[in-house]
Amino acid sequence: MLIASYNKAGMGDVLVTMVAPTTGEQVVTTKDDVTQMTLADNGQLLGYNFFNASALLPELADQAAGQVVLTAAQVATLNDHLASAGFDAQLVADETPKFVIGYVESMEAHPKSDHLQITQVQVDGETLQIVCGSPNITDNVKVIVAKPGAMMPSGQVIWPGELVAYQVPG
Amino acid sequence: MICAGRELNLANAPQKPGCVILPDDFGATGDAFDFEKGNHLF
Repeated sequence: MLIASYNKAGMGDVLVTMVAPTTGEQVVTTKDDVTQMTLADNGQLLGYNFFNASALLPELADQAAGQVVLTAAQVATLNDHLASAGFDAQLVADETPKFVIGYVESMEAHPKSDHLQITQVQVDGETLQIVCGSPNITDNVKVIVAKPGAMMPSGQVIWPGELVAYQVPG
Repeated sequence: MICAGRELNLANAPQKPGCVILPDDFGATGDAFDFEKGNHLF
């Protein structure tokens, strides 16, 4: 998972990359113009912030504020920069679309809610279970699905596991 | 997450709860959502 965003007007010339959600205290390490964030308790990589990002990726100058889908070549450039700065952990490109057309195959009322529905939504070759509170949701329709790795315009990130908010008891 | 038009800042999206129900011919299941096209949904 690699989520990247760039908002020069709001944050300056900084490319923010995230590979995992922040679930605890962070350790922040800065080398040259790169800051690494890891989890304090286990060292898990959370992401990197690249300052002066447009010097590395000049094409960011034309980028609208928000999520950036980095190509494999761009990620390779970032990884070269990480290595030269002295960071070991590398980024892995993820160019798959995060906002896709889904088909609601079926839905059933959530047993612990009076307004939520548990939907089964087909996307590219897989069926996602998505809990939905939209009042107009129904089955046999096409909808817009934000998959794990999507960043909403509000900045909210959809992490793996967040779609499956209800597991049928086994 | 099943998205509402307002959550995606789609042009003229209703500012009330409700997901976007796409026309059948908008695109194939699994295709990337075309935001430019989506701005003409409302």
